Amino acid sequence: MEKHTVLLVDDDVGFLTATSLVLEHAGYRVVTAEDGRAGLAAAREHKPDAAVIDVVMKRPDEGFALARAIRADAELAHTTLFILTAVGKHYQMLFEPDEQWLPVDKVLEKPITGDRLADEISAALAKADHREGNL
Amino acid sequence: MTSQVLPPCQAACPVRTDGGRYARLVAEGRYAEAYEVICRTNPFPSVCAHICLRPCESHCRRGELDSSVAIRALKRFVTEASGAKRPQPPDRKPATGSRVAVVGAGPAGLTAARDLRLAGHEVSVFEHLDRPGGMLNVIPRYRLPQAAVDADIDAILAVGIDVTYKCQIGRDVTVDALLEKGFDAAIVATGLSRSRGIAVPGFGGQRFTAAIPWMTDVWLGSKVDVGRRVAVIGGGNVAVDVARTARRLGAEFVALICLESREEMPAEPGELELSEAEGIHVMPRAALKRVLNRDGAIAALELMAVVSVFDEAGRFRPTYDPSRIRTLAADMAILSIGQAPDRSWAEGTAVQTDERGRIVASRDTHLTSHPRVFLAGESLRGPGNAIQAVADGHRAAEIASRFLETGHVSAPAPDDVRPLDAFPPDVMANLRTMHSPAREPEPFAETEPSLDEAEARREGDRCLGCLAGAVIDTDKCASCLTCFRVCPLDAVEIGEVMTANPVRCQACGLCASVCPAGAISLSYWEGAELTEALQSVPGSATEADGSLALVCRYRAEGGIEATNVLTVPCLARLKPVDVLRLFRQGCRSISLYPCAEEDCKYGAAWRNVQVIADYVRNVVQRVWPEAAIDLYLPETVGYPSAAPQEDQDDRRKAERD
Repeated sequence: MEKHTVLLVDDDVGFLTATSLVLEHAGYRVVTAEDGRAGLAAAREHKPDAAVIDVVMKRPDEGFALARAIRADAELAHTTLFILTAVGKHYQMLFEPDEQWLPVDKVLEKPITGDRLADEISAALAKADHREGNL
Repeated sequence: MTSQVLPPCQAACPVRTDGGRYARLVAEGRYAEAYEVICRTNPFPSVCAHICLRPCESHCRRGELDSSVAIRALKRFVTEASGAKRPQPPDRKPATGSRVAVVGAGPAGLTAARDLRLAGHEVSVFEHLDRPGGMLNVIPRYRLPQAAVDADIDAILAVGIDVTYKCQIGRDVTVDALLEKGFDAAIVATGLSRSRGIAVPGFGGQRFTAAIPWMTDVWLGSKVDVGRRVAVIGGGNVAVDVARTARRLGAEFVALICLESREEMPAEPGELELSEAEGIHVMPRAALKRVLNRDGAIAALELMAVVSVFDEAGRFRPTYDPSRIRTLAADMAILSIGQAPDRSWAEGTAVQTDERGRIVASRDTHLTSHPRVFLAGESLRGPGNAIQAVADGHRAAEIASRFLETGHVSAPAPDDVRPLDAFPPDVMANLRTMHSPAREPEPFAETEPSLDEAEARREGDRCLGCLAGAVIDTDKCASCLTCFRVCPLDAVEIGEVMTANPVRCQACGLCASVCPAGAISLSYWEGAELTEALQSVPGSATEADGSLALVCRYRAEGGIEATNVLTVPCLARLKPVDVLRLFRQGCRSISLYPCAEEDCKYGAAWRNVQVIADYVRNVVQRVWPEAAIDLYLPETVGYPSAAPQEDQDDRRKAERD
């Protein structure tokens, strides 16, 4: 069976490295990018099944903008999207998916263990596969 | 199952406070008893006296007539200005040996803690702030003074509750660890501590913040940052609090930007009016589209027009018109679009969350997926207000206490109540309007104005006494129809037995005073109390000059100059036989002071007093020629100086002519 591809977008290189290892160990093919622009390019190139996107990178809202851009791209619109950020804790705000500004599948908060992230991705992709299978 | 019918004010209150009863007690000057009624179901009387959203007043039947009784203002008078002491809590039950951890020291958590402690359990509270109160701490002090919060919380903690501050659940301790440490159950009442965010383009510039963290900084004394031009995003009560606070902190321009139209805005209309009077610009039907930053700081907001907020099914589903854009210069944006719970405490515990991250818990039993962890307050119910949190705290404590005692978790019996029906039109037509002395707060006032004693008594007397009226003892009733004839509201109904219709009866008491069989009592007003008071009179009266003034207890003004004064609950309820007995007991001169007509909710009660006086005079002067009974009828406003009965009769006669 073909491996699912996961795109990780984060300006924290240490996080990218460690999380890539865990996800690869869990059976995923992983591609990474360190900012929003590179993330969008990687998404267009690799057509990932899932993308995990940090928020605060070069700009404070960069991850939000990337999520909207991926969702607005017809070829990528089906991608399972996660926001993974500490911005909610920092601002004492709760971010939840919404059609207008945050069209993602789930918002996860840092810190998160690699195993838990792998579980979240696995559950979301299974749900997406089931949805597509039903179509 | 038959619903229990309650006065509308009581039925509307989440903790079923008997607002009408304490209003009437205030009217009579019985402040300690009023305080006791207030505290019977509400451990936050001082807090609610300031910030309760007053569902009682929204349902008050006087509101159909002129304006609702200012029940919250009366609560404030009782708790702050009446001089009455806070009643002692009920006695604590014997120790059960069970221990409960309550997480969160807001209204729900502290109410649950208090109930559990009084039920005999040991209770420890864990609070992440350095003080108790939870969200009460971020309500502006001009609306909720710190002294009111302290008064309630001190009394609650005094029942023997231990609190650990600066202890964040999930970070400093987990619920699993608490249960392992020997707690038999945990109630988590951490409320909605996070503001909802919007991932709007331009998010994250300097001075982009949210209501809860900003208000926490302001009101808990941390460093406060306020812009010159502040945009508050939201249309609820918290948004209004934020806007008014920003204005008080010196912001030159404050805008309240909300999706809803003015009519749809969830903020209390009174609060909104005040905020506009304080110079806050309300911008309805506008949505944040983009934040424009300059050098990393907010410079302006781009707003787009909102076409509609709710869909045809009434669901929140806003639609926008992106072609209608306007730009608002601002150097600060504060999001106040709702609050959400911090659920991170459940991570890594046996407490399960659903796929959207919400804690799985029963709204009936408060129980989570963990067999010993309960939720309470906004953590379970979502956004609410203080008195709803108190009600939910009571409920959670009841369930948890039963669990600790029996090992079983079950929901309490449904609270099946129904408000008393609205007035029939003919009763409405006969009711007397009474102006309320309660005043609305002024813009920029430090706190809302409070009632003085005379105002409070008058306001209390505006209560129409729903369900406090006549009860006819059918065993004593001789079916003479006297009550039927005298009732001004046709509340007495003739059937197999005589009954008083509670929807119509206003507890004026005329029927009870004239019933020859003594078959009628009032649910609230007790004739025995008056009889007892009258029987205590002769000693003091005869020691002086044998004179006595009987004054209506509802009378708000002072100024009665008499050696012996006895206040009675409505002079029109006096029975002639009681007055005659006073003469037999030694009185030789009795002066009757009914209320000024504009102060009397029955309007013409003095006419009944006159009937009583005439009857008694005819009898006593045959026995004691020197005896006198004089009626001091009011002038148009307040009380006249004492005027002989004949003069007043002449005046009335002249007025008639």
